[in-house]
Amino acid sequence: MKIYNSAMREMIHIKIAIYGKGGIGKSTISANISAALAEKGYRVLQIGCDPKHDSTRLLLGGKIPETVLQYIKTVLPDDRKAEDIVYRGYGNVACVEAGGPEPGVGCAGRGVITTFEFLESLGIQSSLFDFTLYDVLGDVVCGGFAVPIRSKYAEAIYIVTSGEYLSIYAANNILRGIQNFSDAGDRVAGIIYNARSLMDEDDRVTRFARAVHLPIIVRVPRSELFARAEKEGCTVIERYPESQEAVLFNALVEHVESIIPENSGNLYPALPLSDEDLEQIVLLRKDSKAANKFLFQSKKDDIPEKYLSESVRNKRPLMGCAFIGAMSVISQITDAAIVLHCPRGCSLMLTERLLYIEQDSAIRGYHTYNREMIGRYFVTDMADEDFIFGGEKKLRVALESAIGKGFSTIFIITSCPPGIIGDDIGKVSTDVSKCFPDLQIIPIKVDGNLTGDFDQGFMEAYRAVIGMISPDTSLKISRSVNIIAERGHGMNPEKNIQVIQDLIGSLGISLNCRFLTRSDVDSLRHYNDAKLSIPANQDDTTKSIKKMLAVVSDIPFLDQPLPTGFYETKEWFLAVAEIFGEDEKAHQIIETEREEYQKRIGRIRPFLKGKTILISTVLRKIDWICDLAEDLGIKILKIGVMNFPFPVPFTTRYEGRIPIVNNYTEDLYFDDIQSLKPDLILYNLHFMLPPDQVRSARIPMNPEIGFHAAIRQAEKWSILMQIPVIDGWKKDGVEVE
Amino acid sequence: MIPDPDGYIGTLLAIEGVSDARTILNSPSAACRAYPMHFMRLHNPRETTRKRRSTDVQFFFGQSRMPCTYLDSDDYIFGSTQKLQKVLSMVAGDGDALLAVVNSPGASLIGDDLQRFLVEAHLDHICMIFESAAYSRPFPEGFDEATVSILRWLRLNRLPRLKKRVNLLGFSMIQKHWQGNIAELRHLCDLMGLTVVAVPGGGSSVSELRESTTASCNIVVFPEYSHKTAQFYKTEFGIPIVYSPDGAPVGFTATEAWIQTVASATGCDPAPALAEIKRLRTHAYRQIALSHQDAGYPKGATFAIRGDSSFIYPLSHWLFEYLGMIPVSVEIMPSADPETSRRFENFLAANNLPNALNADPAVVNPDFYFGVGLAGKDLELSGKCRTSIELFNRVTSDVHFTQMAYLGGQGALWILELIFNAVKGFPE
Repeated sequence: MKIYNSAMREMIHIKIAIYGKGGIGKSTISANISAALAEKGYRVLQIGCDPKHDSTRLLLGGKIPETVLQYIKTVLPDDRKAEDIVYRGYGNVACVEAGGPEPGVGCAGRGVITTFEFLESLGIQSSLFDFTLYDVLGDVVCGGFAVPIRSKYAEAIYIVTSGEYLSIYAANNILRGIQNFSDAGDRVAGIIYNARSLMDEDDRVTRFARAVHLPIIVRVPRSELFARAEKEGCTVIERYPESQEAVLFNALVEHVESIIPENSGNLYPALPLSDEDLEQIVLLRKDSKAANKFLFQSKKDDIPEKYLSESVRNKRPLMGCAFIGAMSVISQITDAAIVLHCPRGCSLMLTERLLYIEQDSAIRGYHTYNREMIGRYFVTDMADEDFIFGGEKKLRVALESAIGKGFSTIFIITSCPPGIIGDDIGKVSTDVSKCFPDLQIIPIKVDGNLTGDFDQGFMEAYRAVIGMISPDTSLKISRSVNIIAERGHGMNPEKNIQVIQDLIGSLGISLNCRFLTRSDVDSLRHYNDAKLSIPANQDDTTKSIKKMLAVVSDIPFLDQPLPTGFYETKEWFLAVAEIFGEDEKAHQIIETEREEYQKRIGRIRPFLKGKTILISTVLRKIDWICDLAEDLGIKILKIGVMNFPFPVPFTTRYEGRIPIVNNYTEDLYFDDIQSLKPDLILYNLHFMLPPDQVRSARIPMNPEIGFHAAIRQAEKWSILMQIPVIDGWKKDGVEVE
Repeated sequence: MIPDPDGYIGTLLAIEGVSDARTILNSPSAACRAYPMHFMRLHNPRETTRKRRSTDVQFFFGQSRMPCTYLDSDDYIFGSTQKLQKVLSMVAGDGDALLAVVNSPGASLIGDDLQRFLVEAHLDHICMIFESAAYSRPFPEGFDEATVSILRWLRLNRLPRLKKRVNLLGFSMIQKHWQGNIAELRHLCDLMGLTVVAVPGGGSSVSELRESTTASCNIVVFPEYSHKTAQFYKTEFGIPIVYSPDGAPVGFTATEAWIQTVASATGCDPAPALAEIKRLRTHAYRQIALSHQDAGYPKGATFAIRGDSSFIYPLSHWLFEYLGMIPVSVEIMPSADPETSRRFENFLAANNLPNALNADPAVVNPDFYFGVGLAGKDLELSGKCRTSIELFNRVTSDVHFTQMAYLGGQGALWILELIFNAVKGFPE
């Protein structure tokens, strides 16, 4: 046997991982291997990757060192040194413990990743040692705990198992994990059998080893000596060097040495068994019957209804995330605090956009600037250490800040990381609420896009706020309405809602509550004070919101959404008037508006009469355009209805009078432009930009509201007819494109 | 509270600040993608065509930059390997000199072995990985660390260092008029006979970064964003670091000091550059002389300022001494340069202005606010300041057709223009 004099010979640099089920004895085995290697003069580094951080205890005289993760948490980056977290154990073995979060919080797998990155950054590299041992928890082989198996780390992997079935099951699972990294070649060194003295144990392990084509390197018998050495805080190698157990480890070390390339190391591929084969081979059981299914007897009513967005329902790619969807809704509550439990980067987009919109619309004179908006957001700024140790502490701090600023209603919205690591938002909310009886904390646990897309978050936020509605209807205002599910109509949403308020005001009806736009908590709670609720839209999300509202409120909904254009507004206005017994007054107002409308039509008709239009749209209802076209003498050549993003059918009063093509594609669209040669193209989607030679205008996704909303669009079209078709700057693009 | 972009955004801007690099986000198609993507479109657009991708195009969803793996709940459990393989093979042939896969915060928890996928896709020679990206840490830290990571990954060759060649360090797209600033300093260097080899993170290409080791020294303009980068060059390649003691060249005084420092460090003649500044000073003098007797003169005007120490110190110093404007609120952003911060505090103390440090601008009601545009507008609209001047880029910033600067002689003139046109409107 070669005796290596570490001072004289060249270093070897072998990295070994030791995996096994928790409690199987990996740490004892790892520590004894390290001690035995050190005895032979090798330079050894042992890294414990188990959150219990007791891997190196037996090398450190029973002491538990400070863990890497705890160190990172408390020491500033510029002050960090390798000497602070690498401890000298028996035989000069360098000992490092990764550590991990407390049980029940955080993500230990992430902790392992962070540890490895940190060690590299401090220059604690395998190149300084002959052998590096990674002692790794094998119960969970998720991405993080599989880091040591990555090709740049362990060159050889030992699997520790006993004869207990679950231990062998875990060993087989570890082989599955290794197999996923098979690009790094054969790396399984073999099985270390840590016997429990069970009946048939030897046979089981032998059968398993044969089936997976792995050698059993050593059988470590159950021995009181290990317990005694452990009690004294040391390895068997140190305490009982002449014992049979020490001889076994020395033999094991000989095998470890054989991994050295010049000894043409013995390594094998990972060939895990299927669950069925495993059971048959190890337990000698063959049961081909499928498991019986559990039958539920619960009634349909007992199952709470799920409101799922269209993308979630159909497993389509999720656009946007529920976090932003929820935030966009809750930001409309003017006197509630919003705690965003997320990393900083998640909160930026919407906070900047919302503030910008608030400022921009105030500058344009749409409303008075509301400075309060800035002070309502509290971001927990989750960082790497929170992913490992959990973010609940920061959440508490953010809640306390919000309470300190005087907010009595606080919403919590979560992004992906707190959802993935399992932060218990409910518990934190409950704990904090106990100290403040008048405080209402409402968690909206959307977890980024774990629950779904923007629309899903939108609905989840509505659901949360709907839960605040008071059932008390004693303060009912008989001549008032709510508007629900607004999505920002037109360039000036406030002006548009003012149009509606003026219209209903002319019938002696007031607006009780905008559910959920620029409203305070009190008005939302008093949703039930109104007689009628008017939906802003007719889309899928609005339908779900109506269903949710119907659970807590008997207020009927108007069939028609907020209208665009003369005809729709007329119908809508008459419907509202009928409910409140104001038909006559409504007719009078309509006639006045009709006169105005006709005048405006008359002014622009000369520019548009006889023109042809091609329409490409994702919206499912654009009758306001068809109405305009009819009044202006414009011919609509075709309406191409695109599939994205809604499967809701296209409906129109003009069915049969205008050619309509469903499943309209980009190719069909550009073909039609060539063949039909329209005077004007109306389109929604930015990538449907027509060629420069054709006049075009965008169809707003949320058009303006009221009698004259549509005519304003047509006035823009008439201007288009008077200005050059091709903007001069586009000609410069000939060379660029 | 208006949040500042964090180290994650800093990481992405460092990558996209390499002109022929592309970021691939291992992330949902959500806010973690939307913000940096919109930021790039506004402040560093690379599109040369008006034609936009269809929203159906996988990974891009209608955008031209930053494809993402559109992670969902299944991917967090099962990993994102398949999507990564697809997107990498999709973009690999697009001619980028460097690809960088960056994990969003949620993706960093999956633990996928991203390096392995690069090897399997035979892309490890042009693609690097950011498994973690300074989430929620200060922007400059993420930017600086990412820049170092990129330089390390490129395995720069130790090339002979040549006289009269310098790198400029510390520029980032987050800084308002970043391109004009770089252009201005290149011009000043050119006047001194110096060649700027590379501006890491400020629009240099991979080949320029590879050449950066030929520089005789590194001129650190903004140490907050480049302290580690400068140390990297010094440690690995022996390239000395040059800092101007007066901070970044903001305002005539600091610009002249910067020119002298650079000239001294490189052995060049500062005279042509100083002459240029003198010419611009003279021009400024004539313009100011026209209005200094009138109501539209800023002497005595107060200002609040929030930004990086290396920028706001020389600016504040200059406004105080050159125009007689008084700082009433000073907030130094995180990751400050300690030496510059100390000098700034000493300056305030020496001029009986210690209370300005961390004073709330909403309380002191300054005439001018220099800082984040949204914060400035907030003060203006609330009647708490008269006018604001944006120092940082955001997704809500204006579109600019002309190339302005805040640094150098032209930068000083632009700042004066902003101030004097604002002051014109102040009531007496």
